[in-house]
Amino acid sequence: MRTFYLLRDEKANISMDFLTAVAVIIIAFVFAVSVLSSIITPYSGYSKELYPTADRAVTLLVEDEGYFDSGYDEGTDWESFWYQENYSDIKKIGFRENMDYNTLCSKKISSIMTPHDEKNQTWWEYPISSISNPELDNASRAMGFDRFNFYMQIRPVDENNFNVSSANQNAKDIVGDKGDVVSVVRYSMLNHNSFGDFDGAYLLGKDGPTKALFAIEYEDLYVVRNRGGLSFSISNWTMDEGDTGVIQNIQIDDEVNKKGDSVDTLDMLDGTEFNISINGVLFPIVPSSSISIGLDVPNSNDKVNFFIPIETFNGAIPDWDTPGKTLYFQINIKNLEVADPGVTWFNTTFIDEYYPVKTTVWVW
Amino acid sequence: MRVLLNDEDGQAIPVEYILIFTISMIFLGLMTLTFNSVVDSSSRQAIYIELTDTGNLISSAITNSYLTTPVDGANSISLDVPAEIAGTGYFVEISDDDPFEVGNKVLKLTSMQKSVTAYVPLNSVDALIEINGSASSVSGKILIVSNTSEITISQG
Repeated sequence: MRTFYLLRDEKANISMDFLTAVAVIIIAFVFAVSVLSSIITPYSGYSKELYPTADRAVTLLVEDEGYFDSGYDEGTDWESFWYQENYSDIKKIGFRENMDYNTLCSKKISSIMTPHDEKNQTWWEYPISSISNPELDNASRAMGFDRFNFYMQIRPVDENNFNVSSANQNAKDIVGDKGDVVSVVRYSMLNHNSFGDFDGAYLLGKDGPTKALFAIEYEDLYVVRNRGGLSFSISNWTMDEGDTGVIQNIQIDDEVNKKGDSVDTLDMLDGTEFNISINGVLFPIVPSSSISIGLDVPNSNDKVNFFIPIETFNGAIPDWDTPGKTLYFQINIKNLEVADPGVTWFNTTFIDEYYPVKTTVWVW
Repeated sequence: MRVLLNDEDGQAIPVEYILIFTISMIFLGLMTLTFNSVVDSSSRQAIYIELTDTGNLISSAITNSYLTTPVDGANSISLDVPAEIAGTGYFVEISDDDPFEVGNKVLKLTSMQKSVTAYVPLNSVDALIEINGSASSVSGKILIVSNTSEITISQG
């Protein structure tokens, strides 16, 4: 072959078969790469992290008491600090009552979750829309949900005892459109505190005119929130033989007078602001706007029940649910006696009510 | 432009072969590099998912160890973990380097050869008890020892 010939040779051809082969190879390669990558890495793995994290967080929530450390004090009764909005002092939120009893504590639950008491038993949810961002961020940290969003409910297992449709609707409204969501369920026993009956033989108050004086401190107001109001009964009255006792008026206030023997207000509740019954029979106040009750108590063993709804507290004492508050209740009575001067505290009548509950947490 | 459109000169066949061969080799090289990149990306993603699974296993064991520790003694759990993930070992440690920006400690798993790191939350257990320690996966076991004051992870 002569070099000169090669350089001067102007004959050429187009290798159509070569070009076709190259095109086919390129098309096949692009197709294989796109299909292979989607097979090998179908998802980012984010949803796989949800369930284990949620499972651990809920486990600790129902099986641990929680913990606070304020720098000068520490302990497991973190709920007091949550009430006072010292969120950063609460290192871990747990609903267990104590390590001796494997029950949930309604006081701890009520300190952070919103109660609903439409029927016999209470159900709770958290968070609701009115929760502030700092509170929610601290709750998420202390519950161990870290960067994930969450919503939880604690419901009685017996669905006849609470408003199931309301609970379901609330869950659906918050979680229904969230995409990748996992839910974790735990069953536990709940210790639901309530106030018991007062023994009329040991009432404290004031004579002349006779007043029975009661008080609830702020740490026990969760019972009122859980029940949608304050309910209590008095029986075993002290009265002279032949006399008929009379329940005259009810007064509530957040202060007592200087002597400490009666509430520091002249206002009395009218018939629209409370319910009163005797031996299970509702006693109507006529007219309903009257502040005078006039309920006769003929026998010492007559049981009188009082129910003051939360709406009455909101109207009479708007800041009743403020940390540090003490609420006072005064029942003005006639021909019924009090044992001694002083104040009867509601927490002396605490009773425990245990029932099974289901804790459901949705995480996304 | 007119000269270009009317130019019917071509290349000699051998020169054309050399040109096409060179272009083909360049194409082949690019395809090989792209394929390796895709496979490597998929491999790293798969390693990350597997590290996260293993991390969740260890974190759950830590939580259970904390809850079952007797008040007057210690608890010891030996956990079986994969010795290798994608043909390479990994390192497990408790770290303050919280990528979730919550301020809690996390479980950090690092693949030794592939430089893949996964972080798994401890769900604030570190607020209740001191958690420390590290281990490699070489033995296929991780030891979790807990008492009333601390939890330690170490080589099993």
